[in-house]
Amino acid sequence: MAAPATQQIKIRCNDEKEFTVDRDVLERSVLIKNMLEDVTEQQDAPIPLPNVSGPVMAKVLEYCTHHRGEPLPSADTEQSQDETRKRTTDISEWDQKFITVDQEMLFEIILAANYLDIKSLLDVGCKTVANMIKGKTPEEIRKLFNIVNDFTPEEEAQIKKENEWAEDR
Amino acid sequence: MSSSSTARERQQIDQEIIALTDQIVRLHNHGPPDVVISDINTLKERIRLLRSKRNSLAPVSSLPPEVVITIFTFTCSYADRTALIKSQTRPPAALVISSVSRYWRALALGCPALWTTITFLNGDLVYEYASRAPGQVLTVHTSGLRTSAVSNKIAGLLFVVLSRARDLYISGDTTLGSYHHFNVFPAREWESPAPMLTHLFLENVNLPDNTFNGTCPALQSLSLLSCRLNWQKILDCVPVGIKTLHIAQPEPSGYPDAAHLLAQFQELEDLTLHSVFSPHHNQLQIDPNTHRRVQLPKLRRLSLRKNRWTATLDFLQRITLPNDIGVLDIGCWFRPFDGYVPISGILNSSCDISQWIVRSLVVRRSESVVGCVVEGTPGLGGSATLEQEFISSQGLRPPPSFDTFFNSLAPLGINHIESLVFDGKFNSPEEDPIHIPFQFFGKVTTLISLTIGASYLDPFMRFLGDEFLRLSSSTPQDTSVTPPPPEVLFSKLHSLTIEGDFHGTSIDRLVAWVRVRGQLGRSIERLRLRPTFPRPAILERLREHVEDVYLIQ
Repeated sequence: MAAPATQQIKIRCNDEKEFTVDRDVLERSVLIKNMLEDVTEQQDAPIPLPNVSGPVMAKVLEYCTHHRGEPLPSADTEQSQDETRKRTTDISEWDQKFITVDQEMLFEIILAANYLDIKSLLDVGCKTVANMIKGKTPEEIRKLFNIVNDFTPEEEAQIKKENEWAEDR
Repeated sequence: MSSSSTARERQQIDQEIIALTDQIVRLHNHGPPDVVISDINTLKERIRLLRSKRNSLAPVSSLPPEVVITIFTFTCSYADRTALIKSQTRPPAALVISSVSRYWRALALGCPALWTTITFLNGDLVYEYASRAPGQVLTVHTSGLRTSAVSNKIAGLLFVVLSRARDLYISGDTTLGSYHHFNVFPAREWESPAPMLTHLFLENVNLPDNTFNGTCPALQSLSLLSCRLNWQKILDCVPVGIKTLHIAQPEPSGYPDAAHLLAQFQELEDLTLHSVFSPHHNQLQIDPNTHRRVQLPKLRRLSLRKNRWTATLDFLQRITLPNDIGVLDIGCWFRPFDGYVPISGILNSSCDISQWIVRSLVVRRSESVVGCVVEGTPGLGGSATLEQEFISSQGLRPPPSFDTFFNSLAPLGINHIESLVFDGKFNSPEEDPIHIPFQFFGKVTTLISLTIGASYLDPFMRFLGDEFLRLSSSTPQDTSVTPPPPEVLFSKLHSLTIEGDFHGTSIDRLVAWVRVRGQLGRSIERLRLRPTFPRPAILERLREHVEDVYLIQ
């Protein structure tokens, strides 16, 4: 039988920070949902989340709390929606405000969403990075992400050729 | 590894790169010529390896490859055709991504999905894209083409992609005029099979007679805008299972009976015929001697704009539409104008409109418009751009007043409207003294989305009345308060969009209305405002009661 929606679950992050959260909020994470379903008896010990720090988990929980109650994508709908999901990089106003963080935190949130298997949060993060990339030149993208040109001369020549083709529309 | 230690490591690499670069400069200036080149190359390779190592320490490199690929997929995706057209002014996104770093390039080249959208004509690049997306279906989009410069390129493009294209959008340069047709399809290309082709959009194009001749069995959507075509040859060859057919302004070539032409497409869900029954070109005709009705049982949207009205009616007399068609959008050819669209004409037509379900109703007005256009309304169409002066000079019958128009809605038995838009562009009600019977739409219990244009903001607020102001000041426990009548409550409404300038009373009424609805468990979930002068205080007040309040620019 499903546990009542108000059940409180404890989690522990990799910096020992602990959170006590409503079960339905935590179940936005497929990873945690599966863990909870596997546990038959109620346990008091916190669920360890070795890949997420306290500050990042606080942000993830803010997202999960805001979106609690929304239907989780099932495997079938996920597959059928996959194509349209990828076509648009629109982000709702609340999500946009939520994800307005520095670059390091943005990547941390994406990593946490990926680890915890929160598809919608992962999409918000990936769309945000995609929107940062769109319309920029390769040099601008390098500057944005603090990376440098490491191509071999041969690769440089091929890229130059491709860009010349692209100019010849 | 902590961010401070990776930053330190990046700094050390940067210093090492500077030192190696200095060595290269020194070798250039002082080294013996025979050893210089190989030494310099060795140093350059060391620098490159250090750069790759430095990149691996960047925060973005902490993301796993599958996440980076998801980001790339979003970057290279296009929400719609407009986004595709805009993208043509920039270098292709996949090309940009693959030019950033070695790691990004390796990931991008290993992801075929990034190379499936082709928005250019260079044959080499098309070939490169096609080879990077092995086994994938392709979307090809080119627009603004001019005949002389690109016909060979188009032929080459089709040769490479036709067997794998799922979506093909080809548009001639529309600035050259509607009837400047673009000769992009050498007949031989269309003899090649296009087994994947599902959506085909062609604009300002000459179509050879053998187009679609058994080569694209999967075709589901065909749009032919301002194309020169032979109806008989072309449409007789289109697969009969097609679901969407949009034809507008085709070059003259008569077809004796439009209804007969469409009878073969029994799977049609969306049919657009714009300017096909025009008085000048006579592209499609209705055979006056045939009375056999054609069934289009699956049709959910029919749009017949810019056609001679008499021909439109004749056409409607010959087809039987399903009762739940959803959207019927009828305009008429307006210059020379042969009479305002007679609503009674539709009422007397063969269609049984009393049971139709309307999913979307849009009422548009602008300064130059005397009549109105109603989209998605069974049997109601209007002349959109008929000027008063022209009506007088031609001695034409003027369109009905707005009041008459709305009064005519009631007998139509509209029983299901989900979305209602009053798109008024005037700044004040004085400029647009139209009375909209809001109470009528309040009774439509299925209404879930309402848009009120600037012209109708004040009338709408007056319609809500002071009832809500009184109710909102009472407590939820106050049983003496009578709930507002349903036509004022718009009980199922979830989404409201309002345009125009709010002032004191308007905003008080709106806030009270939203608050009372919330108290009655009928919250507005989404409120979009397009105020003339955005005032943060208004937003703050509304955000107390509505979760998502948007400002539209």
